[in-house]
Amino acid sequence: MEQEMAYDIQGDPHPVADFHDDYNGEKLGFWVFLLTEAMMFGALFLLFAIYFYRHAETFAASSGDLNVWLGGTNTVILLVSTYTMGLGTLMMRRGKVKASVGLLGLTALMAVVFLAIKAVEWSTEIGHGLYPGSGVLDAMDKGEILFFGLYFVMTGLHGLHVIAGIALMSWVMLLIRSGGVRPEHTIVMKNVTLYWDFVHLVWIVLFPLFYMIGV
Amino acid sequence: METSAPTVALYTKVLAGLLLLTLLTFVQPALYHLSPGKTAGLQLLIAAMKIGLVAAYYMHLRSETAYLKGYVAMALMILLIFFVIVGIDVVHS
Repeated sequence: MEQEMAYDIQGDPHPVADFHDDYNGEKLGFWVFLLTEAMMFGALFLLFAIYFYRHAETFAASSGDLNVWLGGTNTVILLVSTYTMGLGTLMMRRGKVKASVGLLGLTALMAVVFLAIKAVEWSTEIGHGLYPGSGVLDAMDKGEILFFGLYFVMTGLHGLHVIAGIALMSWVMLLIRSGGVRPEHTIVMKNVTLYWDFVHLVWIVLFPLFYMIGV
Repeated sequence: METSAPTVALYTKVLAGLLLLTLLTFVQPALYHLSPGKTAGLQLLIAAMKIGLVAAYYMHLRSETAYLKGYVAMALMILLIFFVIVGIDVVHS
């Protein structure tokens, strides 16, 4: 049987002994996962588009009830965290392990701040009775019920991805400590960076749809 | 396989571009007071530019193989087909 070959980051071929050192294979596999995630969020964006088409004015009025400053702060936090995450991987590949760990920790911290701001937002909205199933919301127009239903489902699902991102970053830090991630073997960190970029991409679309249409 | 290595300077330039587009996102409603539908369209146009920058430079799609780029394009095409077919159905129902 012909020997299967894997190619490392420099493009050099190596016979496949096992599947733990196949840089391109691991990266491609992770992209496939991300594209399934894109399909899932895509379906939700499609749902949003349908209801926005049918209730444009009510969606815009409901959007005005959200706190654009808190949402905007989270937008900037997530944007800068994508930058620090990318730099962290770059530093690891350059052998600057300490700087890499610092940037990874800073990214995780920003993710925690993002969640804290989201929690403040949600608690304010819930405090006003604006949550799915509440008497206050049920008494409102159908468009408002749909808007806040979609808002909680989509930002909630995004928030779960942020929590998963924090868990993944913590795992990468443990791997760096144990030598599982090192300058010559960064694929896990690279894939977690791709994941974090994807989480940012979803927010890039969520923010204008929920916060800016009613400004 | 990636053909060019990213640098701190490149990442920082992209960050500056993304921050500028984010600023544009915030000021757009003040600059152009449009209907909710047109506002959403313009906001999504800015979002598409930001997505392009992140995907090309931070996710390194710009320097990936044609195979991977094709794979991503195929997934996006499928998503677009869903949007178009459902969109036609919604408009005509």
